[in-house]
This record gives sequence, C-alpha cells and structure tokens, in this order.
Amino acid sequence: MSHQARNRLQLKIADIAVALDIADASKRAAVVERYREFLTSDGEPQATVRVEVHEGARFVPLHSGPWVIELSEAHGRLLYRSHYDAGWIESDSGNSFVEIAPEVDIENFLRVLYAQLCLRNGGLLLHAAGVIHDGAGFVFFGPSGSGKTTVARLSLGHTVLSDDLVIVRLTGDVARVYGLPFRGDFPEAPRINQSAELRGLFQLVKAPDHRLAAVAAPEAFARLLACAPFVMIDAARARQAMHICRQIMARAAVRALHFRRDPGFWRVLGDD
Amino acid sequence: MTTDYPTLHPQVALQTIDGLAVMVLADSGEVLVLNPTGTRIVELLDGKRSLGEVADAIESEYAVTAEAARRDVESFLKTLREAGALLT
Repeated sequence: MSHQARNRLQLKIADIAVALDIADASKRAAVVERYREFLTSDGEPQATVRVEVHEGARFVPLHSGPWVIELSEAHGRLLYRSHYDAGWIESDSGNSFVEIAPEVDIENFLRVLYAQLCLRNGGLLLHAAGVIHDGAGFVFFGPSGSGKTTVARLSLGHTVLSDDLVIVRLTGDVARVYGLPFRGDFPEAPRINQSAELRGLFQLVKAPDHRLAAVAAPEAFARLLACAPFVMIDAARARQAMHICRQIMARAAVRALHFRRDPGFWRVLGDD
Repeated sequence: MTTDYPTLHPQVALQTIDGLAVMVLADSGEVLVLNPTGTRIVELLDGKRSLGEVADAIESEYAVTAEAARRDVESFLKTLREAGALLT
C-alpha cells in the first residue's frame, strides 16, 4: 500500500465525496473518530484535501471577539485563514490544502470546503437545525440565538440531523435535506448520516404560543440567504447562491414558526 | 445638476422577487430587501443615467414633486454608498 493510500480517508456528506490526505497519524485518528458515520470508500471524490499538521502554526492573531475565519479569492483560489489553520481551495476543482496546528481539528476548513462544493452541486450549506419526522425533512433556520439548538433538543423523539448546519440540495423536482457531522451547541447529538425530502423551511421566532405564519417571498428569500455561510465572498458566488435559494423555495415553502420552549410545536407542524 | 453617474458596485448581486429587489453585498455578506421605490432606483442605476435623470424618472413615475424625488434619490444613494453598494 502506498503512503498516499495509507494516509487517505474519504468523507461523503450529502452525496459529495472528498478525499482527505492526512499524513499525521493522530490527526487521521481524530478524523476517523469524529466522522466515522460519514467515512466511505464509495464513489469518486470530487475534491482532494491535503492536510499538514505543523506544531506552532499560527495565523490570524487571537483576540477577545468571535472566532475569525477570513476568506478571499485570489488567482483562482479561495484563500482561507483562521487562528490555527490556513489554506486554500481551488475554485474550479475544489482541490485543497490546509496547514493546521495540532491542537485544533479540520472542521472549520471542512465547513468552508463543503459550502463551496454544495454551490457547485446545486445545494446550500445552511445555518439551520434539521430534523426528519415521519420520513420528511424539516429545516429550522435563523440567526444565532433564534432557537435552533432548542428546537433540536425538543425534537429528540425524531431524527435530529443537526442543531447548527444542514445541507439542502436540489435533486430533480425535489429538494433534500442532509445531515452532516458538524455540531453547534449540542455536541452530544449523534452524527446521523441520513437525508429526507424537504417538507418545509421554518424561520424560528420565539413566542408565547406555537403557530405558523406566512413570510413574504422577498423577506423569506433574504432571511434564508443570510443563513448560507461562507459563500457570500464575491458576486458570482452570491448569484449562484441566490439561484439555488430560489430553486429550493420553489420546491418547499418557507414560513415562520412561532414557538415556545416545549415540543408542542410539532403538533403545529404535523397539522400542516 | 450633478455629473455623477451612480453605478452598483460589481460585488453587488441582485434578484427581484415579487417586485422587490433583494440585494447581497458580497463584501460584507449583508442581505437587504429594498422597498418598491428603492427597487426602481436600483433598476435605473445603469451607469448611463445621472442622479438628476434618476430623480426625474422617479418624479414622473411616482407622481411626487421634483424636490421630493431628488431628496429621496439622494438619501437612498447615500445609504447605498455607505453600505459599499455603489461604485461611484
């Protein structure tokens, strides 16, 4: 077996396969542990990521504010920089390189990579909770603090795909929601590699009672777009995201879910 | 009359939905929904019309006074400029 074959893992999220070449054994073991449910030898990878671990790697200086991820486009590459990792993604192929300090994992880089690969594959990575209920996919979106993790925690009788990030992809006449192994504030949630046809997208609104409300199409479109991270880097990517967003909205309605902190909102969704 | 020919910045992406423009400012990631007048003003920003010509069009299409049209267009363009959505 060659070095490359020994060092290679293949991740498949939302039916998009990516090969990870990781020479560092402990980092490779960490990836196996964290992403076990999403590792596969099936299919041809759409992109290859070379991961190099360097002791003391430091890039964007740490400060007291939120975690920083800097993205910029230059010479056909999307440049990625954060505090302990930096790299690039070739805009055409998706082939990538990331240099990373031992103390952090590659998840932030993978989030950015998958956001790009989704755009190329008619999909969007969305800051949203995803739940499968009676075989149908429900996506709950909104900014931080809107209740995504709360909704996920209140949906434990169902299949919770994520409390933080899901992928929605167009497949023929339908849209599907896919689970992915990235977590927000609900780290104990299982990493479930499942998907379902999308029933609806629900903008979360904390309220005294459970009810569904219509959202005007331009506002729904804008709010959904605002939940698509890592793609508003240039106008071309923004236009592609807008195109996909419209296609998703043509296949599944966007409404506001007014909810309080109990699972009763599922009755409102079930009656829908 | 100004000689300014306002134009949207190339980093702006637009999509009109149900008659309202949704604007993405790719530099900041900000997403804005424009009102009907803002949507019309943005449609008129083709780089060939001066601020005065845009205001003239708004005056005639919305049946407002020339002064009100000019004031509204200037105010809206100032907002766009501050958001980084204008090239000039």
